[in-house]
Amino acid sequence: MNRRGVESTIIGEFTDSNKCEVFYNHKKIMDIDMHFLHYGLPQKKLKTTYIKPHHIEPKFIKSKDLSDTLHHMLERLNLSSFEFITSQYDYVVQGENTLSPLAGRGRVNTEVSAFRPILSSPKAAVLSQGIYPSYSDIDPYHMAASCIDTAVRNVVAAGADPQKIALLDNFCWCSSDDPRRLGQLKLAVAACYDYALVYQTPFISGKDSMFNDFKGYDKEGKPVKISIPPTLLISSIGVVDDAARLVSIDAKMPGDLIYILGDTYDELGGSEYFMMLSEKQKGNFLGNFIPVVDGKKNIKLYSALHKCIEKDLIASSISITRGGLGIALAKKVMAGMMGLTINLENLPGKITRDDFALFSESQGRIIVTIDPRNKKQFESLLKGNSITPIGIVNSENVFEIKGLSGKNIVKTTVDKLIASYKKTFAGY
Amino acid sequence: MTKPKVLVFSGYGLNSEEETKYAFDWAGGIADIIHINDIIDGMYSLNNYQILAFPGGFAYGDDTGSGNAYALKLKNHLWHDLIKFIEKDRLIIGICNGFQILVNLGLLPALKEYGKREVGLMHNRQARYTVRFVDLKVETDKTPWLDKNDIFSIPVSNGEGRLSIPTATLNNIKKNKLIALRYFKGEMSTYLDLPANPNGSIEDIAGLIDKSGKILGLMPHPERGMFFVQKPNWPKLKEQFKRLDKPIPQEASGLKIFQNAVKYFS
Repeated sequence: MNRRGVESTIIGEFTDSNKCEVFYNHKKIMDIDMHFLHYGLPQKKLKTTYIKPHHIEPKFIKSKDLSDTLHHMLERLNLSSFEFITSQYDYVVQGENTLSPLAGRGRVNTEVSAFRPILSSPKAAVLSQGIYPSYSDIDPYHMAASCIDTAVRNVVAAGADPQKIALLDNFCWCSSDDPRRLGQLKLAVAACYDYALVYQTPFISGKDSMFNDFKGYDKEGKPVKISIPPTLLISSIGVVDDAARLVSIDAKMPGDLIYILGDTYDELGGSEYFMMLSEKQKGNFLGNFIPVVDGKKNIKLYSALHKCIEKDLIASSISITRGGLGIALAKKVMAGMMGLTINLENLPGKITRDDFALFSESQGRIIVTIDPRNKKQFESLLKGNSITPIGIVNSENVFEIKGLSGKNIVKTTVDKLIASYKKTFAGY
Repeated sequence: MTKPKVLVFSGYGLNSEEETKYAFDWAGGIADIIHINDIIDGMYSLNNYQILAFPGGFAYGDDTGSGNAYALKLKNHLWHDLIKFIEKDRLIIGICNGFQILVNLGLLPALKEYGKREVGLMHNRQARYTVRFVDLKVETDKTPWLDKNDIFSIPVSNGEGRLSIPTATLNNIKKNKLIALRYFKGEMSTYLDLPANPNGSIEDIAGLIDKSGKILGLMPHPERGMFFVQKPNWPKLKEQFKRLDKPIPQEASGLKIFQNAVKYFS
């Protein structure tokens, strides 16, 4: 320590006294039995209750053209570019970064990064996360399940082996002496247990912070309490045996086929779309149907996709998360600076409206693009899973989506999408 | 071919020593990472090395200005050893924080003599720490570190990377051809649609040499752009190579700087 200029001082030693004794100026100032230190605190008992709440649904206006809606979604704080933060963070430190957090020519913020901590090894560690606090007040169990599925799916989409993924949980809760908040916590923890078993993903670490509440007074002197929504952050870490097998989100080549993997349902409770409608309609229209995660079905799909990635069949891949299919498609082509044409007539699952098709946050879904020459092998490796071709990448600056009935619902350009995506934090 | 021995300095918050060593080893040298205190204590001698490398990092937490405190430590303890090293036919490189150290130490550009600070690396024009890839072209044929035809697409990652030079000094630097590298709109800044100059550095200067050409300092990180999979556009390039049935390369442009230096001793 001295040779490195670090001051260090011996302050104690381990003994067999079974006591913790502390001296200051030769005077004993602490003397506690170790058994008491370890087991002296009586077990605290807490009560939990849970009543499933009912929330108001937003009002829906039938709109034929959803181009403006998509642009508004891209401007939202949760979905817009935050490159100004990313580019101030030294993500290339020690030369480890191998999948940039700003993807492609369009420099789109990704949810997955990959690093090569050992430069002499081709292996990479892939990191991502899942977080959906707006789901908690609808259903904490499926909130947690969605976080886990998203965290797992994100790293699988980038190339991680589904058999080599570990998770971390960070609980940021509120009022954890209130039986109702504890009831929500119990459900979230139950989902962590259940889905970790289904996905065979061990929790290797975590952290909790149980009282994220502010208590004070308003300007009239009345007591106020403000609490965060119960929030669970699931982080994921996966391993890729060869960094050159990582798959980035950006569309690569005109003419590539676009597939959606997984099913889409009317699952928009707590979604970014409903948040936007709530703000526009000046209310809190959370909705009632958040995504329900079918873990067994998903892990089968992820394993099959991983086989395709191992065989180098996937040109680009993006996990569908916050904001839904519309946002994932936009990010894919903004990153690649290429256009696309999409037809959602055969969108698999059960979906009733075009705006729901674009913005549902159903879990278990990934969009991939492939070289048309790989079509046969790709489809055969994914046989028995929900995979549907929905469009094609083009070299033009066009972004066109036909809806459930085959009519145009979005017609815009990639340049305009990028302008919206980068508008909110422009100049920061 | 004899393999030159490279001493990569470490300690006090330098943090790029591992990959800098990797770069020299890969290029054909034999690099050792050595804590500055162990050199001061006489456990290692600069004499046994052909190349000294001051890698990136944030020595002393950038307190009193990036590179300043580490430079003072060198000046107070190793100055004579450094001067003796420079007098022989040997090479020195400073990358990012290492460049800041060399500038504060007065080893670059050293127009009149070694030991006087003549230029400054100031806070970036945008007043932000900035990470991005840039393109560099070589401006001089006076240094073994660089080949006139080299082009580098490597990242910058710094808060204080804006080279600031008084006019008279700049004229003198130009007269002596000490501008080593300039930012320009090449492959990567075009791909990323970003301006060539990442921080407002004077006349787009990214690196300097001394009059002997043996000492090079640069803000961008060649060791963070030496592998193909470190390039921001590698997934796209890989897809293009694959469809043309071309092999996927291992290396990226940054490795060349280290190869140039190793070649000098062969």
